[in-house]
Amino acid sequence: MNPFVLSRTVVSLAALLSVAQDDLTMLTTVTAGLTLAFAVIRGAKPCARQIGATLLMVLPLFLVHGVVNPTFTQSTSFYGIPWRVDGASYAALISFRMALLFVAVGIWGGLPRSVTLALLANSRIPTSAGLALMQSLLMSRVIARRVASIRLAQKSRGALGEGRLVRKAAGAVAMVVPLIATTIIDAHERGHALTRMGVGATRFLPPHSLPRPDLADAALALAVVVSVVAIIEGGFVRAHY
Amino acid sequence: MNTRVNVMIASLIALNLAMSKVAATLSLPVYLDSVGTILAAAMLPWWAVLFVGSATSILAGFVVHPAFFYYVGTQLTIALIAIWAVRFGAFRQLWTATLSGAVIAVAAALVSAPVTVLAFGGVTLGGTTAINAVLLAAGQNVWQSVLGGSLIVEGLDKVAACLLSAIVLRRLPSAMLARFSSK
Repeated sequence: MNPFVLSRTVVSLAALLSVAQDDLTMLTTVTAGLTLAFAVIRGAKPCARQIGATLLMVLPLFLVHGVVNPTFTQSTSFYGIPWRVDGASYAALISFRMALLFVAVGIWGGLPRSVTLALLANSRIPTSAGLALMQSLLMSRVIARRVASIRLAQKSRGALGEGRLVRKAAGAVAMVVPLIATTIIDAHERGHALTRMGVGATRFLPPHSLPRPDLADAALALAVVVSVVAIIEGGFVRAHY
Repeated sequence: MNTRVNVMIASLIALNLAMSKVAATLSLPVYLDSVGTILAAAMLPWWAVLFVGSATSILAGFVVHPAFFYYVGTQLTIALIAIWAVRFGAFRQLWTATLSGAVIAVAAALVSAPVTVLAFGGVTLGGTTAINAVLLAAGQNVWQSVLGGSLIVEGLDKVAACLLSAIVLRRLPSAMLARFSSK
């Protein structure tokens, strides 16, 4: 699918999340469908990574509400561990909502960076705000690389705080303060250089142009959105009337 | 928008994103995603501070963890209180920075607790969930435990963020701060 159409479809699906109500069957169906779509579009590996990230939040949910939370009455016990069925269904409901969000973000996150930047440049948000967002996306990678090199330098001279929390915190401060100061000074110098070059004096022209969606892509995107609306509305109607 | 301000906004948002990743990498019991917002309050006009806060939440939702989308209100609250703290010169001394951190922490906990309970059933990132689970097991309800857990974690996080900001502001050249001053 055309990445432009794909991104718009994902945004529409994410907007539909707000419609999702308390129906487990409906949420399960939608999540399973979207996960399948994600696996087909982006491949099995990114899909597995996203499922792993979701499980990191889902497992504590079941532990907290299915076992610990005394608000839900204990239904049974399993080898002496209390089990609360109401709490587990509540955890399942929250889990599916989260899984839906993770899948939507995963599909969006898999878009090529050039398409993301082109979308920002061609969106209706003010040019300067779009420019700031584009720069921050790119800068965050530069800072992450800088973090890695500072950590490597600290490790090589044995100054990396590992192990106890106090040592870890001291190591983090030793790393973070120069990192922040360097980032700000760099930004100051870059801003100064760009102003000298005349950036900001004229209207910003987006460097990328978006591909125009063809009819088949648009029809497919519309079909996906309509199917999800139908499933959500169907589930909502079944649950409430 | 002034090009210099624009570049500084971008760098501070990127700093917020990178710091939250650093905290996650080092498994620290803090988020550190508001250092850039607090520094913005000391260096940029008020509208830019609000932009840094809200854009951090939106971009972190894509880059770090989808849960960040829901906490835009928390970032805006942090931005507003940080602007107010800067106007009172709270980052000139470490003890006043600590005090500002405590005020920001209480406000952030109050704003984020309803989101954590209603959207995520009381389970969020990092060590907060463990604290919430302990408080729940002790017999408190979800609201009380989430608020208690948030106060502990936000207290650590925001005081650390304000102290870091105060230390960094001391190390930056004064001519640079004067150029970006929000006053």
